[in-house]
Amino acid sequence: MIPSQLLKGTLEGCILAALSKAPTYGYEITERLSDYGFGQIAEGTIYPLLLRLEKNGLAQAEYRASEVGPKRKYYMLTAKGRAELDAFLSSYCELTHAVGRLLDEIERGSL
Amino acid sequence: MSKRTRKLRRLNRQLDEKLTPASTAMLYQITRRIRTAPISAYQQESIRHDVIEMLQEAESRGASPEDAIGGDIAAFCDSVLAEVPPLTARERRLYALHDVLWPMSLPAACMIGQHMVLLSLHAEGWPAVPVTTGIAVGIGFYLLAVCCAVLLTRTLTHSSFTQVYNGLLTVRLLLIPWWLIFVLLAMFWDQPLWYINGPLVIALELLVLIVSLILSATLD
Repeated sequence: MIPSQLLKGTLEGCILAALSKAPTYGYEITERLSDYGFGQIAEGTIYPLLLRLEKNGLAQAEYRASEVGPKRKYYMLTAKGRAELDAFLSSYCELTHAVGRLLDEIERGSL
Repeated sequence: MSKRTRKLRRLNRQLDEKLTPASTAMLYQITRRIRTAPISAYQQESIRHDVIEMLQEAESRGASPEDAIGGDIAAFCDSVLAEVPPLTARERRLYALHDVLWPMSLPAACMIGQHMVLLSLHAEGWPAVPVTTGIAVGIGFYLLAVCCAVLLTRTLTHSSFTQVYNGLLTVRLLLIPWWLIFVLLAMFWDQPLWYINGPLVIALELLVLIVSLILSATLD
């Protein structure tokens, strides 16, 4: 289980990444993230982030029919969202590279 | 309240009737919380709609409301409200004006009718229209009813509903019998107390009515 504090800074970028495949809705995003090993994330955690993406013009939403209840709100990436995703991936790679180097050094030092 | 807000509110009411008691209880707590937020009625209903969708999705897969929303309702509401743009200062002023004018709009409409009654009773004095004891008592009773309804609603809902007009449903229901009593009072308790300018008063009442209707139709 990834601690929520560690997830906090990256979850928004991960949602952007999940949306980049195809338009999807809240619960499906939590399922996809769970499949990738993020653990069980409540839809209530994702929803404010989706609202933020929508507010910032990174995603747009539309209602589509659902077989289980009211129309589902599907989110899709906008062009601005794709650019933001690219920026996130680049920053994240930089971060993981830096953390990786640090951990390598610690590992080498302890050996 | 705009047409699209009314439509969404009606839809939400239909949908929330289908929720289980546990989901309804959670939706109620979330609704109480978002009603106090300085966001438009449309945004409140949009959030409610999305929450109902989440709760129904959870029910359909056999999950609890807590699985869908999370255990901390207050934290959920705070994080959601942080992402919804608050009303601007101008919008807040318009809402405040609407809240003041809306309870007055129905009596204003009734007053126009009453002044027509008065004109037929005191046509010789036009444009000076007498305010009789009956009219003064009638208006007094109406104002008392509005204050009682507002106080009662505020007490019962613990200030969860910031817009005063939500609390005036009872008064609206009382308006027709009140208006009939008012006409009878005006007809039979007709000692003039003072005189007012009829056209000016009717123009003011029309203005209140029109502005109130415009605000109701345009504010989300």
